[in-house]
This record gives sequence, structure tokens and C-alpha cells, in this order.
Amino acid sequence: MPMITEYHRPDNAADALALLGRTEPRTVPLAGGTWLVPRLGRQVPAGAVVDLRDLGWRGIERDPDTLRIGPMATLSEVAASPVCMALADGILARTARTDATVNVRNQATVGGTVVVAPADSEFVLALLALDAELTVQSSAGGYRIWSLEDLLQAPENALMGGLITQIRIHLPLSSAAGLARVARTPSDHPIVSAVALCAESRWHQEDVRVSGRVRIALGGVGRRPLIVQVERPDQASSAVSEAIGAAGAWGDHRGSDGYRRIVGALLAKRALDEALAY
Amino acid sequence: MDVHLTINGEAWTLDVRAGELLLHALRRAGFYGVKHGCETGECGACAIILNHRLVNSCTMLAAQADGASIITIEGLAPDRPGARGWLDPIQQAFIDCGAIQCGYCTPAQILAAKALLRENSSPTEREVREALAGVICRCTGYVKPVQAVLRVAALLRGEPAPAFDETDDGTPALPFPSTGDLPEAEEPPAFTSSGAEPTPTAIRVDAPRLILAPPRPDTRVVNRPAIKVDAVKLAKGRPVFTDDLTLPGMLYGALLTSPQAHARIRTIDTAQARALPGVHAVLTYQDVPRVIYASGGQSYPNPPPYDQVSLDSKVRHVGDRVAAVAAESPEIAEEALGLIQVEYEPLPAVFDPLEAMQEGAPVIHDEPDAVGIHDAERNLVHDLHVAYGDVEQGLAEADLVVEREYRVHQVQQVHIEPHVCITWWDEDDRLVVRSSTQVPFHTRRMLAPLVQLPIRRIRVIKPRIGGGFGGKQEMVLEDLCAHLTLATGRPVRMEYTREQSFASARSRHPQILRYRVGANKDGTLTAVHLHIIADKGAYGPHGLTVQFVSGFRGLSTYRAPHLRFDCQVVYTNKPAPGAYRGYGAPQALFALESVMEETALALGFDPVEFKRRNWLREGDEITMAKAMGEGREGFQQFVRSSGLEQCVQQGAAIANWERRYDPNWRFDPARPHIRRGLGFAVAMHGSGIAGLDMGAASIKLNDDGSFNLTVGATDLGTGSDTILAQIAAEVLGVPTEDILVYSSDTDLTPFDKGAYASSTTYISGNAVFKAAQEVRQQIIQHAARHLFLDPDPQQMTLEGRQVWTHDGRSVPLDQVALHSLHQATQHQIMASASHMSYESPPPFSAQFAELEVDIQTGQVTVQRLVIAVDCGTAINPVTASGQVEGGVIQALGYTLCEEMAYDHAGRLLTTDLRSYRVFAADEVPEMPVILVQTYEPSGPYGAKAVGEIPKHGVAPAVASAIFHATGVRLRALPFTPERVWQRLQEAQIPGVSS
Repeated sequence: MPMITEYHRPDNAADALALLGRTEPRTVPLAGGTWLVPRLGRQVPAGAVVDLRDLGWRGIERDPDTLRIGPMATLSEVAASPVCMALADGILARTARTDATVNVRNQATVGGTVVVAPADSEFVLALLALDAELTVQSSAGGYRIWSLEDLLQAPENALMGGLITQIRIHLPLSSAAGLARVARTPSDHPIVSAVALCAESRWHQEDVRVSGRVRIALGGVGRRPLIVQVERPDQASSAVSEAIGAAGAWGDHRGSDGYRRIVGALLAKRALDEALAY
Repeated sequence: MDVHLTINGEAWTLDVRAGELLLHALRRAGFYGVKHGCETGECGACAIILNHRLVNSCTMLAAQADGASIITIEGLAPDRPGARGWLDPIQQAFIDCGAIQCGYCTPAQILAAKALLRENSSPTEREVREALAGVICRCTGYVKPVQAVLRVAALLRGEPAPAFDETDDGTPALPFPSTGDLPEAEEPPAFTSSGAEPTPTAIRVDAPRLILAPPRPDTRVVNRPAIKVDAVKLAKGRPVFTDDLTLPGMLYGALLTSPQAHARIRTIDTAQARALPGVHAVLTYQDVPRVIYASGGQSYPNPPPYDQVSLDSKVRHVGDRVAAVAAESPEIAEEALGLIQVEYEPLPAVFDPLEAMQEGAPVIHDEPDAVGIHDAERNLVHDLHVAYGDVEQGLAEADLVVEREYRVHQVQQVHIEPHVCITWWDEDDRLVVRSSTQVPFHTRRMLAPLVQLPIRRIRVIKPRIGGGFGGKQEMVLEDLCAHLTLATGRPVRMEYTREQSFASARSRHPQILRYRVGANKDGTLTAVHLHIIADKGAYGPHGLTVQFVSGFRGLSTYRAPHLRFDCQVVYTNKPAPGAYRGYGAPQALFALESVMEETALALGFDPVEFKRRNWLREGDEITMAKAMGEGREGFQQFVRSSGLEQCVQQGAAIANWERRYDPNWRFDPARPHIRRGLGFAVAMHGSGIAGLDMGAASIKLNDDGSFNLTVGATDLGTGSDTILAQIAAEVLGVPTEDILVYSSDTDLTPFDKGAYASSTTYISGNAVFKAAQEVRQQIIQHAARHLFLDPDPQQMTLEGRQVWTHDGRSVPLDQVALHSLHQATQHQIMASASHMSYESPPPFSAQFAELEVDIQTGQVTVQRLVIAVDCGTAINPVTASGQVEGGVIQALGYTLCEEMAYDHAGRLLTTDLRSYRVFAADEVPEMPVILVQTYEPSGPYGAKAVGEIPKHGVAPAVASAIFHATGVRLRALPFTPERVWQRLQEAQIPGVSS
């Protein structure tokens, strides 16, 4: 059970960041808590938490170009969001449902899921396939935009005591998505899974990057999700193989490294085939 | 800090600690309907409705909920003066549909339904399953809970309820359809014809459905679906479980476990822990008497080995006991554990039984005071050899000898209520042990020497249990809790975490099973030899008897003139397996049914026909019964009732078995990587341990014509209290509600050996039957003597709460009661009876599996599991079918996904319900259950056992179906995607590669 001594629930980001900037007691942000609370005092040594609930940050909105998700939006809110259901065959809503049971997703937040980024989270794969960006407010108050892909490479560097204030997805003109998975049981967390996204037209440009037409996010091969981006579907297979070949070795009792690599390539193809079938 | 909440409509201010979980705060406030099952939000037993949404209270700080509106189960239909016992419609539906077994997860399931129906008044079955998916139920297989939610949704929409049978006296109807248009036993549809249309595989949910094949006994109460006697209190979430009690001054116990797989404790320093404010006791091996014992809850004398002590100076597996702490709060106790300094001297460890048997392997039990280990130097706990006839001769005479090896793995019971107990001194200086145990009487006897108290100074009480499945046929923590009470003089409560439930409790024995089967070309068996190497883990409880059951069951379903069983039971440095529902039978029957199918195919026989030629029939002797017993003397036994042929016929019809012969059915043109298969297996079990198991019952008549029934039998949620009440009610001519059941209290109820070995219906039921017969005679005698003129007692009957003469005169039972208590020859009408049987009549089953195999990933998706069970007369068909449904899904987990996995150092990798997968409501296959009734002459009203047999057929039937789908034979459980994929790769099946 958590052995923290302080619980804070500030109503503004500045106060939250000030609390999180303390070194004594070690203070960590608390979103939904489904991941953090069972680990407090054990895997996550901390003496205090800062509950982000009163910061707002839970809306799900879109304009013609961008989908904006507040980090405190729950997975249930994503799953039920018409905006999310309309985007790319509803891949965000669909994976929000497969990621957690209803009692968990009623509490688990988008921001928390992104920060924790469980290796078998299909919701994170969907965000990666959609090339999501995150706005991070630093402890000094400044803002920086991170691609989720970059953030997941080194989340501690990206966050540095700061907070995710928004998740943004630049909307393609039209898109289709596919999901393929292998698991011990139909509703189990996947051993390997893939989310593929196809856009019919060029994505919107940002100063940092230009998105391609096909993005495949692959989870369960290597310790972190793999991302493949190509212009055309026929380029996907070799790109996926290359990415899998470059991934570090990783396996567990559910699947060995070798199995994950072989099945990963297969599932990437299946996910892409599903997306192309729409 | 203060947290302001609205709980069930009332304003509450709770003073909570910063890190206190909402679960603990709510329970501390008295909302015991919120249950602890895990600490990580995966089991959902702690679920509540918070601001109209279902959430887990174990992954939320109480402070996070500040300002929230909360609904717990207590808020659905609060017990108020004058309105006690009223029910929310969802609670009523759960009761009516038989959706409650142990009831531990029931509050969360009901709240999940409440949250769903608030948002969606017309949920589909899929939506209901999704809503319930976050609440793991280990008892029901989810069939009846789903039906309950769909039913109440229909009722709340104002739609007519599905038609149910009415009871004879017009009391509220129960969800129990008659046989209707479903096949009856006499004329099952032909399943070998090719013209029949497959039955759609969508689940029928318009009404809870059950098939009863004739014959149906002429009874009023028995063989009918009485509501469970504990259903209301469980549906309402009343505080009926072990931990639903807070005693004044109660301390919280905690257990320090070993991080080492094999080590001596060089030093252990508890000074800092003892000095921590709030700590009242820290116990190590230096503080408790060294008394050697065996922890398995079994009859006296406990089978060897005696290789455990409460706390030892050596640890033998990761998770082994090191020290126990009692403190004023769980947080302080946990902090104290962290302050105990232990210096270990690591020893070489061994995790494979084959390696452990080799010379030079680490010796796990080198203590000089262990008793009953066959060869400690070789880690050999038992070396067993039993023969009937001459197997070598039989094999030499056979036309064909098939030799195969099968491997089965270690799985955990995963009862959602963890091991938990509370101990305290009562006003007479007697030690009271309130425990979630399957074996209260064994526990009392076994605990006495460990705490050095005479048995008479110990009282063990078993309240309701949140599942056991064999895991609680074990004294896992009662001794430690008692030691802490002895050390402090205070009440102490101890409970396992979910991680400890995996690493420090019991599990199913892994085995290597090697069969040699001799058969002739005509399809008859000449000999069967079974050799088992069993992994006993670090300690020996149940090692002898589980393996004997494996041998017995693995050599009993089929007739053969020569049989032999050899077995080595071997220590390793892993958590010790023990009893788990089915005992050693699921392991053996996976191998037996597989090898029989392989033998049939090798001979060119249809497997069903081959098995039919050889399976036991009525009148056949169960030859190994006398040869083996269960580690003790065996007794000659014969099959006196068998519905196996009917089970196969009925099951095949419902499973559309004829599709097996249609090659086109196996392929899906739209999904070329999918292969379909149908598989089959039969199973046979027993009803109690012959010549050993004893249960007793006592019945007395009350002033108003009701009866108190006290039994030692231990209801784990199986419904045994209910079916025992039904047996008494049937004999005494009253409805079930006139029987007031109290069970499992060593002070107040007669002895019963406890809930295991499929014995309760048969053994305890017969005891109740006998006691009720005696009470019935006393009632008749008193009425004949005092209340009728010229009666003939021989022709008098009890029916409808009255005593009847043959010529139609009657007197109500309450008049008999009042008269006998107050007016003439005053005496208490009451009787006790015991029952032990030298027979253990076998229930039978036929299991069919329909599945799809993704030949490119190896993923197996089971779509339908049809099971037909001969359990004799089903005393309560609803609870019986519930047992079957739950058992089948547990067995499916054993087959596909459940597995205790370790790293190279013997550390468990599966310590929570995410890494260890248990089937959820939204992913279970369709599960038609057929109860094929036979009449077992030695059983109460013809009943046999039903609790364990559903565990046996699923794994071999799924293996059979995978073979049918792919041509690949899998001989090692579980069939995880990679294992299946690997075998497919090895077999080079066309289309396997993408």
C-alpha cells in the first residue's frame, strides 16, 4: 500500500509544477492512478503525489485540422468520443477499449497512459500511428512540442519534471486504420500487435516533420514500440523487416524474441491489409 | 486529512491518511461489500460506482475521491427498519438466475450491471459481457451473471420476463426451463448423419437454459432449482466473509517472504522492526516452537511427508516464509517488514524435477527432523509403484504399443478472496480462528501442536468463502496468525497479497506423464502403463495423494487386463503445489484422453468408437480402486451407474459433431490462415474418498416447524449448504426455506472432513439424508402416539409442512413441534448421523470443443465448449450447472493461458492477474451444459458428485480439436500461441508461413 505522506491537488499548473520540482519529499504527478497507485512506495519511490484532477485538461476537441485531447481525459471518454470514433476507422476509440476493462478505463487517463506507455498498449500504438504530438510544459513554465515517437525514446528527458498539457493529432483528409494482434486469449493484452494507418492524401506539414502516407506501429517486438513510415503500402514490408531487424532483443514468458519478430512482421502486414481494405 | 464523500446518498467525512486506498477507507467505514482481491485493479472485486462510473477502489487513493458521490453494494437496497431484505432488481435477477456462487465478486458484478443499465437500458449480450469483463469471477464461467443482467434489463424495460417453470406452491418462479424442445435422452438426434444443419453458435440468452435428460425423480424439492440459502446476503454484500469483521484492538499481520530460491538464514536482525512504533510482534524461527508438520488439510493421520515448520532457518523457494509481523496498521506492518535485516547464505537451487533427482543435485530437505521423505538425498519425496496384472506381458501380447510423453504445468487456483484469517482469544481463553478454509476441522487438529494448545482450546469458524478450489484445503497462514495472537495477546488479522497468493500459496502439480498403451487390432486394450514424474516444489503437502489420484484416474476410465502405475514425486525450489480442483485428475486425463485418441488413430479407429469399446460400463469393476486407494487401503468398487454413452450422444448432438467429417467446414475461404476443428474427450471422476471421508449432520425441529440443520460440510460457494438443505427438506416434507443451515464451526457443528474430493453431495448429503430420516421417524412417532387416532405409522408421510396419515388426515409440523416440546412426552425431536462410504461412485462427462487455429500465429480461439455430465441426480440443477460452467472455464484457462512462469533464479514472473491470465466475461466461449441424469443407488436421491469432473475434459478435447484442425498433436500444456506456432512450424503445415 502506498506509504506517501503528502497528497496535493492544485488547481493550476504553476502550483503543480512547483510541487513537482521539489526534491524532498520526492513528488510525482498522479493522473488516474491505475498504474501509479499500486506502485507507489514500491517500484515508484515517492513521498508525495500531485493529483492533476483539478487542472482541467480533459477535453476532446477538434478543428478542421487538429484533434486535441486533454491528458486528463479518460480512456472511456476517448472510447465514447464521436470525434475519436470518426477518425481513422475509430482506431483510437477501438484501442482505448481493448487496452483496459471498463472499470480501468473509467479511471485511466490518456496522459497517464502515454507517460507509462505499457509495452503492450494498443492505444499507444494507435497514437504513434497517428503521429501524435504532445505539448509539455516544463517546470520553468515554458512549452515544448514533442512527437510521441521521440518522447517514448527517452520520456525522462522529455518530461524533466514537466507536465503533458495536450495531445495533438494532425488530421489527414481521410484515413483508414487496421489492427492485428496475437494474445493468449481474445481480450488479453497482446503479445504482439500492430496498428497500421493509411492516409489518402498528404498529411499536414509541421515545421518538424512531414508525415508519410502509411504508418505502422508495432508493439511487442523490442522493448519499445517500433514505428515504420513509408510513402506507399508496397514499401511497408521491407521497412517493417528493417525495423524489426534493428530492434533490440526482448521477450517474456508469453512469447520469445524470435517468435515476436516473426509474428510481428506478419501482424504488420495484416494490419496494413485491414487498413487498405477500408 | 479529511475527505468528504457522498456514500450511498449520505454525506460522510472520512479521516484518511495521504496514501490510504479508497478501498481501505471504505471498508474501514464499514462498507464491507467492497472487496479486496488484488492490489493492481485487475480482478475488479473492489469496484464501486464513483460519480456514476464503475472504477476500482484499489487503484485510487481515498484523497482522489474527495467530493465524489459513491455507490457501493450496500447502497442499492439498504436494509432499513421495516424494509430489511428488500432487493434491487439486479440483485433479484442475480439470485433468480443462480448467478451467485461464492458471492465474493457479486457486489462488483452487480454494480457493473448497475452502471451499465444506467447508460444503456437495452444492452446487447456483448455489451453486458464488456461491462462485466473488469470483474473476474472464478466460479461461474459468467454464464448466469450475463443472463441475469440481460434478464433484469428486459424486466426494467417493461418487457415480459422469459417463461420459467413455476414451483408447486406458486412461490416466485425460478429460471429453470423444462426440457422443452431439446433432445431427450432416449432419442438423441443422430450425430453421424451428414444432413443436419449446424446449430448457430450464438449464445441463447433469452432465458437461462438448462437441459435435463430423463429420468427425473419423483421429488418436490430435490432435483429442482431452489434459491441458494445464502443468496440474499451475498447479493446484498453483507459482511459475511472472514475479513468483514474488525475486532477491538485488532492488529494487522504481515509476512516477510524469501527473495532467494534456496538459502540458509545466516543472520536475521529484527531490532529495528521491533522498535518501530506500532509494532507489537516480530516472529522468526527463533521465536516459535519447531514442530514438524504437513500443511495439507487431510484426514488423520496426515499423509507424509512432515517437512514443514511454522518458520525455519532455511528457505526453499522464492516466496517462502521468513518472518511475521503484527502491527497496529497494515502500513506499519509493511514498513516493519522492510526493517528486518536478513543475511542469506545462498545455496544452489534446482527447478527441474528431472535434474533434482540426479546425484549431486542440491538437497532441498537436509533437515534431520523431517519425517516420511522417501529419499531426501535425491529429493525424492515418494517413489510409488502399483500394479494390477502384468503390464509387460500385456504389452508383449499387443498388436500395437503406443508410447507417448505429455507434460502439464503449474497453475494457481486464483480464488478471488485471498487466503485470510483472524485469530483471537475468547472470553474462555480459547483461541478462535476465523478463517477462509475448506477444512475447518482438519485445521483445528493440525494447528493444535504448532501452537502447543490442546484441540479443545481451539475453535475454527469458517464464514462464507470467496472461492477455494482446493487452495484452501491447506493450512497456509492460520498458524502464523495464531502465533502472532499468542505473542501479543491481541486479535490479529492476516491476509495474503495477490503476489503472495501466487508465490507463497499452493497450486496444481506439474507433471511429466509417460504412457505405454498396448492394444489389439480389434480395438481392445491389452495393457496400460503410466509413469509420472511430479514436481512437488519445495514442500510435500498433497504430494502423495494428488499423484495417486493421477495414477488412479489415469488408469481407470478404460478397461484393460494389465495396469501399472509408477511415480516419482520430486522436490524442487519452487512454490509447493498442493490441492487444486480435480486434484491429480486433470493432469492424468489430458494425457490419458490424448494417448487413447492417438492409439485409436494408430489402429485406424474412429477415436469415439475406440473409446466406446473400452470405457467402463455399469457392472464393471474399477480395478485400480482396490489396488491403489488414495495412499491408503483401497476397496473393491464397481460402476453402479453410468450415463457416459448418453453424455456422448447428447453432447455430440449439441456440438454438431458431424461437421468433423466435413472437410470444407475446416477452412474459411475468407481467412485462409484459419483452420477449424472439433475435438472430443470423456472423463470419469469419483465421489469422495472411499473408506475414508466422513461427514456428519444434525437436525432439530423448532417450535414453528422449521428445522436447524448443522453440518460440518464446508460451502465454498458451490451451493453445498443449499443442496444439503434441499435433501433435508425433501425428507421432511417442507420447502427449503424451512431448513436453517449453519455450517463449518468446530464448536457448533458436527465433524466433516471438509470440502474436497467431490465428496460433499455424496458423503455429507448422505449424512443429512440419514439424519433427516431419523427426525422424520421421530415426528411420525410422536404424531402417531399423540395427535392421531389409530394411525398406522408405517403409512404416515410428511408433505407440505404436515404429517399425513394414509387416510388423508394431517397435522401441521408446528403443532407436532409445540406438542413435543411443551405438552406431552416432552423431548427435543432431533437426530445426528454420519456417513462414510466404501464406494466412490464415478460421475462421467463427455466434452466437446470447437475452435479455430490461426496457423500463422498459433493463436487458438475456442468458440464452443459443449459438456454433458452424468452427476446422477442433480440435487439442484441450477447450482450443478453453475459448477460445471465455472469448472469448464477454469479448465479452459488451464488449457490455453494460465501458467506460473519463472525466471532463471526461480522468481515468479506471473505475480498479478495481468501476467497470469484468467478468462474474463467478454472472451469466454459458448458453453452449453447438459445434465444427463442417472440414478446412483448409493447416493442421496441418486446423486453423485459434480464439482470436479468439469475440469477434466477440456484440455484433451481442445488438443483433439487442434489436431483435427491442423493435423498437429500437442502434448504439452498450455497451448499458448507460441507453443502452437512452434509445433506447426515443426510439422511444416501448408500455409503456416505468411
